[in-house]
Amino acid sequence: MTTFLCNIKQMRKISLYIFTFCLILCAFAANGQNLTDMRLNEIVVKNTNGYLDDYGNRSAWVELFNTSYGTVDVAGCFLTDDPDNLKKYKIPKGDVLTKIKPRQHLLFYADNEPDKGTFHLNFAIDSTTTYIALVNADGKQILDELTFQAHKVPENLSYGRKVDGIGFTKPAGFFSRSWLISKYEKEANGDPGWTVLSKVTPQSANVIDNKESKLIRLKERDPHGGIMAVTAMSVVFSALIILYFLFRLVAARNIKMEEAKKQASAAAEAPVEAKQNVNVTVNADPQEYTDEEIAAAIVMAIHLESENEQVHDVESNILTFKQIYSPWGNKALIMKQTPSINR
Amino acid sequence: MILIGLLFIYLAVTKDWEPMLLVPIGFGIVIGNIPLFPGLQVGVYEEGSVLNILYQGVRQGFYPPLIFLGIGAMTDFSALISNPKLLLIGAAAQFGIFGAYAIALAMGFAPNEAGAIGIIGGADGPTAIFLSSRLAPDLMGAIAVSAYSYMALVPVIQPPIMRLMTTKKERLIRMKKPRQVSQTEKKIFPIVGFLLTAFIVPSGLPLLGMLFFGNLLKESGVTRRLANTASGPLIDIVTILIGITVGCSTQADKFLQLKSIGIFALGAFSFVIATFAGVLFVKIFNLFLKDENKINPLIGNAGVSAVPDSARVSNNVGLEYDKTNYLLMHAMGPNVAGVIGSAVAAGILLGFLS
Repeated sequence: MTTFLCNIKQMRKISLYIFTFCLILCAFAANGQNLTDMRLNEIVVKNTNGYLDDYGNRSAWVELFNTSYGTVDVAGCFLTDDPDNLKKYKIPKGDVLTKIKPRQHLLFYADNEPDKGTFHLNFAIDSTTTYIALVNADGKQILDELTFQAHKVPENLSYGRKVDGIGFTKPAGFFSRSWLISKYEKEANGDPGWTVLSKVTPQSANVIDNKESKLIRLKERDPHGGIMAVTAMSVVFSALIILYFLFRLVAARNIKMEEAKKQASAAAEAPVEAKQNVNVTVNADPQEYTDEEIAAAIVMAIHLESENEQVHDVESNILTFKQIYSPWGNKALIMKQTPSINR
Repeated sequence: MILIGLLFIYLAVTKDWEPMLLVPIGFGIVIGNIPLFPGLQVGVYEEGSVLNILYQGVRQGFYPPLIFLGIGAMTDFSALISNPKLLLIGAAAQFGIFGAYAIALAMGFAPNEAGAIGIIGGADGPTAIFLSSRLAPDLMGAIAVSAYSYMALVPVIQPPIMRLMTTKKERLIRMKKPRQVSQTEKKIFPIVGFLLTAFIVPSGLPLLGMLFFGNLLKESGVTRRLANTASGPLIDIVTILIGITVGCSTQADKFLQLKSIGIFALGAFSFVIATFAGVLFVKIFNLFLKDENKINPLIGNAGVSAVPDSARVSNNVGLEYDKTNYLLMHAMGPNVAGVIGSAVAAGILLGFLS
């Protein structure tokens, strides 16, 4: 019995380790698709011969990028150029165009003319601007921010991320990548993710990731598929080998527990077996039933067997109850929890 | 194409070759190849038509995970849990996928097309549809038909290779009786199995997630109604829909091409490699095992995930040489491991090539 209890304790301990391990893995993998996936992506300060707004005017603009693979609605969020006033421009609600599709961009014109529509900000970006931020609808959580020197951005060129959405950003998610980078480091080294782009790319990707070229590259580097085959088979084998070792451990532990359980139940059943002179095995957890209940079940089984009522499976020296249909136990009919007896 | 469709129906009805798949696919081929005027919004490729809406399950890849849910809910992993080393046979058989991938590259297919063709070697129709819908949608019809056809031909393709690869002595190996697996182990398996495989190959998430979820429904013991639905009516409905729409998508102008012949040839070849690799792996593995733990190499073929056909083939070939040596339960281990292995392999291909 002591061994049995020890095994249960050990099993619980292992379960706790497995649970903690899974929890940690889940926490690191967690990546919700929501406003925290929004990034400032590209900014034009002096626009004299570039992109025209919907009124045919040229002005500074700021581009947002949805890094996620789900649609994100930025309505209700704020854009600001003042770190002390995070609620400077509220993106109006009710405009379907504020919904940004997966991996897509949205442009706001920094022309200080908010009356022109949803996408015209109430502040202007000029050579004196040093700060831009996208703020969550609560007006407190900074989703992304950029500290830069606007006067250093050449006319008709943009300051943007080298790769869309990639680079340092204000930590918004609990485990966002930039969470690991200290503010000091960021300020000391500048943000290597941003640069003056050689081409202005409003409403489109800063760098085009050519899918075909990726496949062509793969074909060039691995023309016979050997590297792919070896790598992939290694991954398949690794996954299944780990599973193999894990289940060997679980099996070894389980076999020990079963043995201990059998010993315990054999000790409890010994007197009954002697009295009835029948080889009876009780496939029930001794913790779950009282001795009286077990004895009653055995007696009932022997009685029904002697009455030849065909209620048992045909199996020599083993008594089992066949499950008999009863509407009382049918979940579809009762549709509520079966009352249980408190022992 | 209509004749091919009718041939499928004939084989299914008279020869009993995978009737659950070949009847819907065969009839789908007939439906899809009836000449019609374009613009009537009835064809499978015409946006908004009923067939097109049903076809989205194939195109967008949401039928295969639902089938995996049903497979999980009807699969008993006991054989695998009681003898976990059989998992490795399931891994070895995936060589078929990557062997076919390499040959497809040599034949001039693009890497994404080669990956989609290679997955036929996994002997898993839903996985083949899932992967080809992502990597090479244009080849999906040929790949799906090829995968399902060869699955039906498992009893024809595998036995000669198994006999060729084994000696008479090896075929007579009697394996140790599998131990009885506790319910707790059965409950732990889908959870641990999912966490492990999904973290290693996240791109296989839809297939692995649904497979293990279905199995948890079955083994948890408290969701019997859900498990019954997943393994009964749900998988039947999805099988009907996937069969009929895949059949419909094989229209002559898209299907009758040289590429399709290449795909069929590669599909057969991938099955051969998979069987060969599975049997060879067991033979090598046996070198490291004690006599009482040796594995009968005839179950090596079951590493492909044609459940339970390839396990049945192991059993039948085994019985030819020893009337009392039943290998079915032993072969079910690598067989269900093959399901996991092919889903993992599909995830890897998707990760590399999409």
